[in-house]
Amino acid sequence: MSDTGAGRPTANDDTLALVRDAAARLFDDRVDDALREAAESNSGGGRLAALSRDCEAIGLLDALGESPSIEALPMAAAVAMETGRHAVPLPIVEAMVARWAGRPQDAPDRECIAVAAPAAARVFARSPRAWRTLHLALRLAQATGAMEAALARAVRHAAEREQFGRPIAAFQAIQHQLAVAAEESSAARVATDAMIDRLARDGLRAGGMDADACPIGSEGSIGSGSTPPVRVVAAPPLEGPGGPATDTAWRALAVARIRVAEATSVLVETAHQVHGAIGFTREHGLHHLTRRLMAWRDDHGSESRWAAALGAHLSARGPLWELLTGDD
Amino acid sequence: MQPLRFDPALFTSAATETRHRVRAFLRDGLARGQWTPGGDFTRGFSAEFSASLGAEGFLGLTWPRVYGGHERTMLERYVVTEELLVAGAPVGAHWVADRQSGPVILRLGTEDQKRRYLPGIAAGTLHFAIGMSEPGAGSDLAAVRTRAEQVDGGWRLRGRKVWTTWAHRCHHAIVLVRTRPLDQARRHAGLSQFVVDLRAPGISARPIPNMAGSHEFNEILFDDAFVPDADLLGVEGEGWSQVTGELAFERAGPERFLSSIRLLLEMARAAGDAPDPAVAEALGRLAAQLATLRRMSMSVAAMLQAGVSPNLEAALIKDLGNRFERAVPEAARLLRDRLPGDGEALTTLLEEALLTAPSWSLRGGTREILKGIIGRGLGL
Repeated sequence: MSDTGAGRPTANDDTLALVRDAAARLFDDRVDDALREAAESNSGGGRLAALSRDCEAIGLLDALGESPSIEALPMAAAVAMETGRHAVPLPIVEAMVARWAGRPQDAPDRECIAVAAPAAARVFARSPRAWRTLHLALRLAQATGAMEAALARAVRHAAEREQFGRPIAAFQAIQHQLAVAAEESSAARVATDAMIDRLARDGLRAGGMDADACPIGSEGSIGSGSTPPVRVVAAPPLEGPGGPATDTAWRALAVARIRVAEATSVLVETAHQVHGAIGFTREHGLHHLTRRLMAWRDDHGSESRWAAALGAHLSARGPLWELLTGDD
Repeated sequence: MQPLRFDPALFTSAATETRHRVRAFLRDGLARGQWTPGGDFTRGFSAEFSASLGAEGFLGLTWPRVYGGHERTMLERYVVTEELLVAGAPVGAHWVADRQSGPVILRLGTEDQKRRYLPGIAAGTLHFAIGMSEPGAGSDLAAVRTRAEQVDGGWRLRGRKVWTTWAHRCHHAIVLVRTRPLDQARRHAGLSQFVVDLRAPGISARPIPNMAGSHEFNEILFDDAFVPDADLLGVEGEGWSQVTGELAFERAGPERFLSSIRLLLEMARAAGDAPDPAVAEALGRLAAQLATLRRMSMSVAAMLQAGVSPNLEAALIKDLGNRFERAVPEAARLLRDRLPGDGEALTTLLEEALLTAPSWSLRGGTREILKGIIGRGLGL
């Protein structure tokens, strides 16, 4: 253990960076708005199937490794973050979890699972607790990637769009909104990184293979026709069997769920406000990020529900300051 | 767009050990009646408390031993700072000296300055104030008009500084002045910093009571006060870059999001072990925000440790932290009739928080200035 207080290096850092960069390159190359639109109208079969095969070929779908170890969670989270950043219209996160569980037959059809295909949603609607814990963890990573992309897009747009004879980035009203969005996005990322790190080290509680009746999202986004009619149900907060193995890891998961959802609301609103009317059009691609973000915000329960669970948990165990510092 | 990075800090066993040591020290002092808990970190000033903290080795924590320091990590300093704030200890005497005057002297000072000032700061017996703002130079710091004119053997200072917390009880202040006439085309040039002995002839302090009813603020008047050459800090004319480098120390610490921590902890206590659902939700949200801010601030501590100057990250944490600390009194106000253990302690803390809250997003840089810094960091 180093005593410098600097970053936490792990032996897997290099491999993780390689896989993440490979995923980013693949998505940069293959995923565009035409593909995202085609996926939603069930007409992108050929290109989506090709992308699925490429994901398979570079090992993305197996990034989470095999049950019961979740040591590879940071790697899977790095992949999930890239799928979010690029609004990839394939249920890669769901596939990683199903393969981890050794039930690839439950994974969304690897040949071609478009956003509009409800198969993934059905699988995860009745799934063991451990699946849901991992799905939430990766979903949060995915959302932070999408938030960073939405922020970058808004910053770029502000620099390019001119009104009153100058880029709108020159206006304090715009700068300050984007500053707050950057604060929120950074907070979400920090909370998520901490959660992934803690969960990977502490693992999951055994058991919990009973299915919760809890509809959660596929790769779908709001308005794509792929989401179950009622997304938000009384989702159990994943304490107990199949949940994080320690109280510390559960608290990290709750903190990340709350902070990512809070940040999502700010990012979605700000990205659209800065883009103006063009961002509200179907043609402009911003909605591929923001519709996903709005759907993911409520997966496995909203921040309101998780905050109530976290508040009750902390109150029952108190005192608050000792609990928080004990988690360092 | 410049990437914002908050790499996780490695929380060491040394930091945990330091936390236990400082907690024991605080518990002990409280039990002996050495000090009484106050609210905000600017409120209490106790030379005795600061000296005993220094004697226990909790000040100058990261500095070289040769200057009275203890060669520990920034993370350990972070932990000590947190525990002092949570305890409501009277930290006013050493706060500025330990947080920024000392580090700046360590970085820019002459060997003579380091030997004269640092051991006293680390001992908790030499107290410093900040001499930056003026009546006409608040957020626009480059507009300072206090002048220093070169004379035989030193400089004569003329002008005034405001909002100098505890100046009436501090020994020294690091003062930002103009050493060359203002050039409108290069407003940031020609500024310099001096370590000024506040007890020298020609220097006087006038109290500026605040709306919360207490006196920490002062106006300092410099009436041809003499400062020897030996107390010029850093390079003459380079004051602007020096002072902006100082701000990462001023902005990144936990005092920028813990202003209302004692109220939050009292709320949690008063809520009991099975709170009303609305209270539980508010506590859960605030705890999630606090936990995240702590991680971000520890990450900045690790960056400072690594010798990076995380000005952008520090500005970001301060603005985010100010929003969090202002949300606490708001939650307490709205939910207090659902707190079974509500009592006098909560009333006192809530009133103090409401009365001091307007200063939180002003001191150390207004939220408008901070958002401007973040915007520039984003490339806007």
